[in-house]
Amino acid sequence: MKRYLILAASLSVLGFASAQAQVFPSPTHDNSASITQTGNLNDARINQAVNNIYNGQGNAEIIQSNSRGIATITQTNATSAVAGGFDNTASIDQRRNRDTATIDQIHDYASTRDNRATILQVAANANATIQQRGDKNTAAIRQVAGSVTPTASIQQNGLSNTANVRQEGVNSLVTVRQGTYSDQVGLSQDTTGSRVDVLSQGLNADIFVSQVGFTHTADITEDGANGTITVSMDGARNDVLVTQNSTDGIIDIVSTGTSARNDVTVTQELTDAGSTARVTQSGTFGTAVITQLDNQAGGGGNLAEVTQTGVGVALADILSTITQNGGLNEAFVTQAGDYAQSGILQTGVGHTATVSQ
Amino acid sequence: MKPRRFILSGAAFVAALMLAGPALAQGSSEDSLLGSLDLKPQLGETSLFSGADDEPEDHGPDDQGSFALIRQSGSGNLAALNQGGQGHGAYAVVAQYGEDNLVQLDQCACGNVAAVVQDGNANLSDITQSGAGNVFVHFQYGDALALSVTQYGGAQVVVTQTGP
Repeated sequence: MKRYLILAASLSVLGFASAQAQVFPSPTHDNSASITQTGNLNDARINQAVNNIYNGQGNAEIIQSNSRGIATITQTNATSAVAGGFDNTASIDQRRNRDTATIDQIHDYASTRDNRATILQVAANANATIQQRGDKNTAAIRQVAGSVTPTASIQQNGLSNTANVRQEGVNSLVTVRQGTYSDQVGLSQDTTGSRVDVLSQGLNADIFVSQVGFTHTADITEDGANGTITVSMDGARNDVLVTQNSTDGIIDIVSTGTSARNDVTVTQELTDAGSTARVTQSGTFGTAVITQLDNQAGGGGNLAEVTQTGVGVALADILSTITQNGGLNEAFVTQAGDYAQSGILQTGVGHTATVSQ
Repeated sequence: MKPRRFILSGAAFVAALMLAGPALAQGSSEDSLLGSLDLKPQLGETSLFSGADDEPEDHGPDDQGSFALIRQSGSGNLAALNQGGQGHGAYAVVAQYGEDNLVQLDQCACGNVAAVVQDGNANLSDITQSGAGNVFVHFQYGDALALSVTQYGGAQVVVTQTGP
């Protein structure tokens, strides 16, 4: 593997990239590649596993400072195991409009090793994609102030992975899928113990998270108006926490038929009005907690809807609580299993609470 | 599920609510009716269903029946409950504080228990219980109150209506 003797540029922007800073050339004689491009319409590609032949730890970095750049990093050893421990690190930094960044990392062979992928974009119409397979992987996408219509996509498969997205632009799109990424041939373990963290602070955000497997956590915070958050869970003992601090939000959380003991907490507050929260849980057990509050203007017109069709075998195995204030809120709860419990608390005028058990 | 169990637990529930009635009446402020926003402790509160019966397994939390609690503060609110989908005894507790509120409660199957507290004027309750061994306890405080109760089977009803 040819080594590039280009010193890494500082990645201290926002304090984010500093944690991912790399040293080129690698002092430990790993594969290392760094590309810095200025000017428009640049295309940079780093592939540290040509033909899937890998011979060491990989470090890769691409910095593009002008518009319409394309940056691609591939670090994969799907069919070529390497003795001893190693991990891969990839980072892409783009600062102008219409940039596209893609990182693919596959490392199946030991849970003690990990891949780390980071994309930082301060650009309008930015697109970022990270795909990882293996264990203890970390994927981070930052599309920060100045971003307009940013798109972030993360797919992960394996154990104890982490996906972290932070967006500050408007009309943003986030897609995170854990447990369904396969890509090339080779081992692909079931997903368990993974985590998704999303923070979106722009208007009209569209966030989708899918988790398949066990003991996952999805923590989503959205602070702009008109946000849409959709979470799909298929597995057991998964936790979802969704917070919207704005108005006119839509939250839809679904646990599919094979799910069990999944817990959902939805909080729409501060100035909540005109929002919708829907939780649908099937399978065994399930807890849904929805809070819709406007403590500043006394809004309302919110809808909370919980449908729980799972099986319960002990007290409060099926549990729903809804809290609303303001006016003209609606709460609907449908529980079809044994040991179902429902609690609705409404303060204000013209509310409707409907429970069917 | 044995109807007797529900009758026993229902009687205990009635007694508990009858004792609790004055306290609720005294505490007709929002705080007493609405309490904490955190409903979990209340939902898990077993004392609500406990009574004089010596068989703890005969009480609500150990049964398969469902439990619904609705608390509303303000005016023009509607609480609608339909229980009976599982064929087990269901428990329903509704507390409304304010005016022009409406409770519509429909319980099917045996051994249901419903408790409704309305504090304010012009409130309306429409309760239907079918099956054996059902219990309905109702407290209304205010003027221009309205109540409709329909029960089938060996039912028990306790209604208290007082002025504001």
